[in-house]
Formats: sequence, C-alpha cells, structure tokens
Amino acid sequence: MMVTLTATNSTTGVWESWAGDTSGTSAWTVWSSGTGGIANIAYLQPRELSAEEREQMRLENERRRQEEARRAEDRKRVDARADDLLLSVLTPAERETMDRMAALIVMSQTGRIFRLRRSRSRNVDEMDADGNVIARFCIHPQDHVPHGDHLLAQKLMLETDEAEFLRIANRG
Amino acid sequence: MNTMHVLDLTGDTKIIWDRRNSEEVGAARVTFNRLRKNNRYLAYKVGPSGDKGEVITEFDPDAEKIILAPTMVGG
Repeated sequence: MMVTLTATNSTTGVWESWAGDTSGTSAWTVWSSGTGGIANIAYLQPRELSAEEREQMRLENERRRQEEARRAEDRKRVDARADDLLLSVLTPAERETMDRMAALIVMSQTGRIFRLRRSRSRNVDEMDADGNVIARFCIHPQDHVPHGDHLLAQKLMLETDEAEFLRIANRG
Repeated sequence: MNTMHVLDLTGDTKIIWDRRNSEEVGAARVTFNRLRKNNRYLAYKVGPSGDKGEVITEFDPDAEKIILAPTMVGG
C-alpha cells in the first residue's frame, strides 16, 4: 500500500502546528479528520504487476542474493587469510588458547597479562594472576583490517612498546 | 625467501624477496619506506613461530618476516 503525504500548511511548519495547537483537538483527530490542514492522505490501490515486471523483480532479487553471497565469501576468505598470518606467529600454546577461548593471551614487556578478545572495540582485558579482569582497553589499527590482523597488531605492540600502547589506548 | 606482510583490507599483502637478489631487495625496501613514511605503518621483525617481535624503523633485508601494521589509535 502506498501512502502520499502532502503538507498543506504554508505559513507554519508541521511541528509548530502541532505544538502550538490550542484548539483542543488531539493530533490524531487532526490527522484522521483531514480538516486540520496538516496532511492529506491518499491511499493508492495496489496494482497487479505484469509478467515482465515480475520477471524483472525476480532477476533483481536473484542478482542481489548472488552479490551478497559473493561478499560473504570474500569476507570469509579475507578473515581466513588474516587468521593464517596470525597463527603463523603464535607458539603452539598460544594457538591452543586461541582455539579454546577465541582469545589471545599476551604477556607484555613488563610481565602484565592481557587477553585480546575477537571483537572490534574494547577487546583488550588486563588480567590479574587469578584471571580476573582489572582493566579494559580500546585500541585498534587506524585502517580497517580483519579480526586476525587486528589481534596481531595489538599483540605486536603490547610485546614491543607497552608504554605507547597504554598511552594511546582508551581505558574504560 | 624473506617476506613482508602488509596488514590491510585483504588480510595482508605479501611482498617476497631473496636477500641475494639486489633488485628484489631494492623493491622491497622502496615499499617499506613508502609505508613507513609519516609513520603510517609500524614495522615489526618477527622470527620463527612464537618469537617475540621487534620494532624496526629501517628495512632489514635479512629479516625472515616483517609485518607492517597500520598505526594504532585509541577507540
């Protein structure tokens, strides 16, 4: 069903008409009576599509579906590539943790323990010796990269320049 | 062979060189310097699986693997 709205009040805006209404009629009354000068509503009868139009619509839907499937496949391929690179620089123990927890445990230069979760924001947890989260940080590469790259960039920086990592990261 | 991985939208772009081939070393060095310009990328030299990375500011043709990651920003 298509609805056409036509503003007919030329001297004041719709909001002023509504807000400044002192006539005692409710907004709904004004709308539904069609006499308030705010809007005219016309209901258009649905039209039967021709066979050609239906075929055109079907083809367009099919094209969109294929495009979305192609994008999903691309994303999967890109994520797998980034994960391969990340895994190539991990120890077997780090890889096992990654498989089990979907997170990376990193010991910083000063011996602090951080957990890097697979998430875009606030994914860096500082942990105490008992495994409790004692702080949470948000820091990421300035260019958009897949999750695996995101974690790799965080890991490398924590291990090599912890002070700069903590200076840049937002703590929350 | 030595490799440089540039983290990007595609996962990574890989640049390969043979340290005995001056032409390949030169091409890899040009890419490294271009990406390092204005600190757009941070460069790390990483060893075999599990070794801690090391920050580098100049291209090292002997590095087994170099990773270039976009500069980090607070979220």
